[in-house]
Amino acid sequence: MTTEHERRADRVREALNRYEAPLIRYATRLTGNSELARDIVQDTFVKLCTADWAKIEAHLAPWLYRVCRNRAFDVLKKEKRMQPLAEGQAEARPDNKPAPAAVAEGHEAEDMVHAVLAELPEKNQEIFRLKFQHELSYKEISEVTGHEVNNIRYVIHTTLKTLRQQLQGRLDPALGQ
Amino acid sequence: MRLDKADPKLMDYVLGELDTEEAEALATALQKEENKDAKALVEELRGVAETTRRILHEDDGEPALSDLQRATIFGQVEETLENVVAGPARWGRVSTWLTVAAAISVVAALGFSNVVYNYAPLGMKMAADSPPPRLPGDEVGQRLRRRYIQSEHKLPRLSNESAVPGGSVLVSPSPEPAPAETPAKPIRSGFEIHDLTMTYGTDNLYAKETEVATKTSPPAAADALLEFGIESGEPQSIELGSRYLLQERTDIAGQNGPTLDGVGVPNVEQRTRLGTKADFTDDVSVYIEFDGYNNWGETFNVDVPANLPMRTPALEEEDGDGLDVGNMSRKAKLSKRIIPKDVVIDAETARQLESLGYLDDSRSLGDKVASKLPTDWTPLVDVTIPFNNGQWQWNTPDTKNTQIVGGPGSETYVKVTGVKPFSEVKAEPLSTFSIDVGTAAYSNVRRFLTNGHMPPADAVRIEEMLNYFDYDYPQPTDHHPFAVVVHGAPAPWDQNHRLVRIGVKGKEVAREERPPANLVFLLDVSGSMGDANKLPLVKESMKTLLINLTPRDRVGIVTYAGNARKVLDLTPCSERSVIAQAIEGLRSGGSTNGGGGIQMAYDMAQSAYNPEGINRVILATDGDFNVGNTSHGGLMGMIEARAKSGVFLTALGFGMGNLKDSTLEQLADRGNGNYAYIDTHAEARKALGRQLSGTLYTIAKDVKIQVEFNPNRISHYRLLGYENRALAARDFNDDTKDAGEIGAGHTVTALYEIIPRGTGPMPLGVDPLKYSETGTPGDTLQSGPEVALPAGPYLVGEDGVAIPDPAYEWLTVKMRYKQPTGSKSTKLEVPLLHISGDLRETDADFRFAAAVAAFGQVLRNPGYRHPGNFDRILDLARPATKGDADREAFLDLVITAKTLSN
Repeated sequence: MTTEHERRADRVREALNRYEAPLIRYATRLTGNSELARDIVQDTFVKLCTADWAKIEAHLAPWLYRVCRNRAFDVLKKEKRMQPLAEGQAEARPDNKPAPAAVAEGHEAEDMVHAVLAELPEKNQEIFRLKFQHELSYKEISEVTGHEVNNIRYVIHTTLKTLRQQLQGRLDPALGQ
Repeated sequence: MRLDKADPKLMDYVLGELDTEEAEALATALQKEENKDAKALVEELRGVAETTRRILHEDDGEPALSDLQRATIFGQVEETLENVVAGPARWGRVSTWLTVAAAISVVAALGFSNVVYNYAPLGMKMAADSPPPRLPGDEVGQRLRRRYIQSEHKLPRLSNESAVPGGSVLVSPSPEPAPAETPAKPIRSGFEIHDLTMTYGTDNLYAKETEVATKTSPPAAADALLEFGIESGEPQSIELGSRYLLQERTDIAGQNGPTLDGVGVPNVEQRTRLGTKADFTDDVSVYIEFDGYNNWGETFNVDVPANLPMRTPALEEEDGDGLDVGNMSRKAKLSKRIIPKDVVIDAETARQLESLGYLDDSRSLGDKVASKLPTDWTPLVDVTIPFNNGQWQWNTPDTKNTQIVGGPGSETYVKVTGVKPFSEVKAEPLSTFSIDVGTAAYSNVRRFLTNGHMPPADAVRIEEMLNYFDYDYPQPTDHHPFAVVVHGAPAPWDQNHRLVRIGVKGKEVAREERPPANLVFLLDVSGSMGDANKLPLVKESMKTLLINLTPRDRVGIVTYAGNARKVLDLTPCSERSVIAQAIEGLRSGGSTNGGGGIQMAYDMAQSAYNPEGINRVILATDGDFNVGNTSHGGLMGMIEARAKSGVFLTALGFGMGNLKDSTLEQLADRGNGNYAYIDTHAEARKALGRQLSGTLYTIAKDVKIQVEFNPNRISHYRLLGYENRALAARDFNDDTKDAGEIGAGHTVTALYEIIPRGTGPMPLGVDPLKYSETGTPGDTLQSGPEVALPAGPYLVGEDGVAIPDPAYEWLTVKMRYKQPTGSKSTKLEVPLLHISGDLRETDADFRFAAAVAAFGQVLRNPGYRHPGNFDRILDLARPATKGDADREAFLDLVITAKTLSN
């Protein structure tokens, strides 16, 4: 019993160390509230404790993101019901703005990427972030979000294409000088 | 291999999405001269992807869970191991409607074109050989816990679901053959389900109904319909609200079937149930519900639309309320509404339905029926069912009620009389009290109950219980900072009495419009604060608050234990990390000297006093002031003096054991402030997150209410709660008398129980009285609750406009308030012209508040603790929760109290 306990605890600890921060970021992005996000991530890991390890081991990352995502939507739905619309949405999304260090080295690219992302529907933003921020594969993103792989591939391709064009648009005049 | 620049594989390659073999082949090809362009593109795409990655990387210092949260997680590891033996609780979700078991039988005779719907309580008109359906018990709580057990064993197990490539499921008529002993022509009960095809979407999680094939001709007997509720040929009644197991599948791995996740991960278990429910609007809804437990660790509970065509012309179908999906929900729900033509619901059944939550709507029954039913519908529903059929075990309030002072341990409460007696209008036509927006008593009561104790009577402050909940009162539309609404209806517990609700709503102020705040935290870090539900929770609460503050706000921290210490000078919230670090570094230890800390905190707040902004000291403590300035009076005096400077106080009570509830409440009163009891993180989020503007931003102070009762219409009254908020009648107009504050968006509710009709002389000369005794309408007011009292005759005003005759008014609510920084009060008045004849004509907020007040009275008075009373509170509250989580939790609390009082 003790060894089983330790093994479980170790697995959870390992997962926690690796995915804690990314999941909090992800949930923060989904809910717009980092405190809520922490609660959601807590719930996610609580769920991990009860999950059948053999079944999820191979999919650990998408499993965690998936559970986290579902939980976030549950919570959001509940919160939405309980509070006037404005509050949840009004809360600033913490990191749409470029980090100070990045601003110095090229805020144009920075702004452009954020601007392009901001134009995307939320669903596509999420997909794109899961790819480039959380480094999940198409397949994994599909497992997390339930969208089809082809759809995900399409979203990522078109978005990246747009970014490429935009970057060229920015760089070309500069190069010309 | 020549590569095309437009080949999307190039991008997949850059993104690492190709399998090894393909990637290697492509890498080799890219080295060739002919693919120079493609190579350049790949390089460029790499650059773009890399830049994107870098930009999206969030440099936010690795957000982490709190220690408490981590502890919770690892605590779960232990628990899980323990549960392995007992089996994990998989069916984790409890739908409220599951608690329903109204004894209404729905009998459909199969094969006839006329289906007789017989809505009668207890299946009175069922087929003669049918066993009596079960009574809807009082054990709502028990049902809640038992979930799915009912009926499953009665039902034939059907294996008629076959997987169809492409992810569709066909529920078609091929049930298992009926048992051999089935009589040739059994009387069957149940709905008929024709072909039903459902397809699960693959692009999201939700089951979608895409096609329903309806058979137009009556099916042959062999064209077996999906039946249920039949066992051994015995007709069974179908209890509305119960679920019937249609099929169950386990371990369906490998099937290319309807995996609910749409990504080919098979379900481990899935159950399909047929659910029925009824209410006055929808009459009968039948729907199929899937519960899937899959190896994603998530329990899916999907209410899938069951478009169940009914074969009989006596029925009409109405479309459901649409798929509630979107990408955000795992619940899809659409129920087909089937409206039988001939429905008779008698009063008792209706009452049961109501009590079981089928009228969860603020509209009255009549409205609902009228607005939802087809135009040719003739409702035979008896809509005037009295709520109050004399079943409340409600004694006349007794002034001599013995009261308990002090709860377990060393907690103390101010002694107040148990249940307030009625005042006679002719002796005291004025009732005056200070407003209170505190909510602490409710959290405190909840703590007692969830720990298995009945709360001491004095810990139960009805006004704080009422005000714990949010109510939808209208916002002010004039220049006043708040609006007042007054409504009346029969008292649920006594049909000869009326309940009058005064609802006050403070103006909502958007976050951006809130003035900047200077907040000084005064934190008790004495040894007694070391428990997990104290200082650690304080820290969590502060972090919650921090998130909700804007960069214009400033936060300072003073701690006190043996000595007061300045931990953080007022720091703008733009320097969040500095503040967060200071919070992180807080430790507990030592004894308590509250007095010194209070001085220092107020000094800090005053040093940066902003006349345009919010200036507030936030005290977080378990109230255990045991060193230094402990003289109760001295402390109060000090706070009161400092409050005059314009710095307001918020008192946050933490922990349990030595909570000095009374001290904190009084501190908050004296300090122009508010008081909240925080026992959980959720509670912190409520007070310091959602309701932050209200907690911080006072929009009116010294708010007093005075009610003048019209002796022509009312003989007696009593105010429910507000015992220690009472003011003398003359204090109302006295601007030097301190009273409560209202924050932005706050709602305040006060309930009066009144006894209609009254005559007699009216001595008293405190305020010029508005009502004279000339009118005689009182004589007609003895009638029962179904009679809506007409508004009085009209008088003709100066300009010829009709104005209601004040002699017919019931009462007038007068309010006085001051602007937050003002010293002169403003008055407003609202008369009550009309009292509704039926409690159910009132909005859900009214009924819910009535239930809370009833609960408070039951808790305060052991003599009221009859199990039936708890049930009636539930009956009253359940249809009025409006889906609000706090209100749902209230139901659980009542159930807990009921269990404890047995």
